[in-house]
Amino acid sequence: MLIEARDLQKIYQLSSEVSVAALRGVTLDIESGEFVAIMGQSGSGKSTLMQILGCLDKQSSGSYQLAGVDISSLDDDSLADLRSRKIGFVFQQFNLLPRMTALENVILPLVYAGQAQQQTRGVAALAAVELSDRADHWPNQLSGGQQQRAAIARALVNEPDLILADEPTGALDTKAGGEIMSLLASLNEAGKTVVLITHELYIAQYTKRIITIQDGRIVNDEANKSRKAERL
Amino acid sequence: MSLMMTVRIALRAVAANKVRSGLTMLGIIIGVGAVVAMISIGAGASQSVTNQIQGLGSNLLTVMPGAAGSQGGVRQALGSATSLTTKDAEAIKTRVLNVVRISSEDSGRAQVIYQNNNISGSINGVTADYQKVRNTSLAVGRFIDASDLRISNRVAVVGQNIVTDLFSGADPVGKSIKVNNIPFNVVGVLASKGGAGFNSPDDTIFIPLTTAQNRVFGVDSLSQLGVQIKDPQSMDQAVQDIGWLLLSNHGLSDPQKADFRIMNQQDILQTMSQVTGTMTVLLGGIAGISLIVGGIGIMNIMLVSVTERTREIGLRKAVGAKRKDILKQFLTESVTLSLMGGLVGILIGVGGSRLISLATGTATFVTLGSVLLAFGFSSAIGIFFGIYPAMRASALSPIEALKYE
Repeated sequence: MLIEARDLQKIYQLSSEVSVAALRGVTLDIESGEFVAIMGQSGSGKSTLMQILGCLDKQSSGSYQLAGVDISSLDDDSLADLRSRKIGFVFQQFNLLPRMTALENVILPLVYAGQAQQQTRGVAALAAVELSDRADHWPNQLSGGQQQRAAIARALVNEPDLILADEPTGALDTKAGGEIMSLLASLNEAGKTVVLITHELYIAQYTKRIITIQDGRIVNDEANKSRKAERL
Repeated sequence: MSLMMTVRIALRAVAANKVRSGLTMLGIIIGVGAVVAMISIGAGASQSVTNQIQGLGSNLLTVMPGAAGSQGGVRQALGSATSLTTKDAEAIKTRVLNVVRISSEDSGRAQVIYQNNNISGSINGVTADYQKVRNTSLAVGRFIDASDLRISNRVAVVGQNIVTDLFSGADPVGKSIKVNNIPFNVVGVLASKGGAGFNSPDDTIFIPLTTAQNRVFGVDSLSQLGVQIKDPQSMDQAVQDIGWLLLSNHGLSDPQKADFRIMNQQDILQTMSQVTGTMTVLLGGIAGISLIVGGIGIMNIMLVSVTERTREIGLRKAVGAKRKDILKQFLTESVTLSLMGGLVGILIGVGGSRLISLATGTATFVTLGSVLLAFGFSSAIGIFFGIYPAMRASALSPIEALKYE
């Protein structure tokens, strides 16, 4: 099992009296190779869930194991290390660093993980998202779709167990968004586990399993029978 | 992350905001430049003082007569008494240990005439040893020798300024001048010593001591004794020995009533270096304040930069940057800023001190120490004022940072 979450709760203490429960007991298993969408309205707790699954934050109670590692016992730096080896992030705003070329952005996780053959692997990752000819471009010289593809290359470069995409099409037009979804789907076909957070059903339709979250609880979790397989 | 990569990223970050980086560096540039220039002024002053004092002769003690007793309540100037004599000089030479040679001198002013030129010149009656004791060299001709002294010869050796003033620059050797209406033959010219203050040999006409005492001033007292001691270690002992010897020769028992004064060149040198040293520290310290102000400027900009780049920090952390990676990145950036400022500042400081010496004629001397100090100080400032912003950056939580708009 890649992701094993048991009764996850997350409570934000806003002040000594006011606290907000963002997750109220989420139990979730995701196996390697799955393509999952986590759906929910804003405020449903899906972003909080993504942050915990992505080891960016820790749960208040419950347990979470990523690839057999219990993250609640890890400190900040160990979490950073875990992220750089196990997880690739794709964000809504791409989050490419402006003063680095596409290739330099892509190899950033390798740099922080201190891994070898950074250039070769970076070039390969860019090739996988069909962006080889843009390796030396600055982010502001790329279109939105190209920037997101570079970001996906960055998520791929360290060969992570899990790709976490937080609203990856949110800042793109429909066409570019569709291309990104197709790319994620093909990565999944190639064996990658992809977990996608979205609030739009038509985006979730690309995935194989849709988990719906509401008020901090999972309200629905089923295989996606009406998958847009024909779009692949 | 390798150091080279960190430095490259820092350089890019600095280059990304050229105007801002430039203005931030300006504080450090001015600070470092001021420190280097100020210290060079201090060091220059110190060096020229040392040179001047050492130029007077090495391991030199100067014995002067005390002030003449009060006349009607007015104490006369130091050296005005007539208590020092050739006998004293002889006694010091024969009875004090480690005395190498003695220059007995009798100086005063007299009217000096050459053709139509007429000046009130400083006359110094000297012995042959003067040249060695006072560390002077000849430009032309010969100096006064023992046979001149024996026969009270009427010969004169003149300083460079006398050549200009009295002879209008013409070669004076072989010319005849009149000192208090007594004719003298000029036999030599001294090499210039530069501005050694009052009583500079450049402004003086030297004649044999015996001639000065017998024919020009008509007294047999001395106005000054230059005593050259074998080595610096023996100076203090020699001062004591000469003191007791002269006291007993003059029939005095109370050192408080001594009618002479012994000055140790080493003491003068020390006092002067203390003065110039204090001046250097003071100037450098004032300039150092502007360095600190520059450092605060760097801290300010780094804090702004951390806030501006919150999302970048969040992203870096999300993809695996550890606290120390972020810390290192921002520290490198602030050190890069301050070091670049420091380098430019050093160049400006060196150039500035050249300009100062060109414009004012004061000697300046850029020491390696001051350059290293400024360089070290500016990098220390980069670290010191960079550490707080860098800590703030490294402590950011990746979620909060990624959410930051």
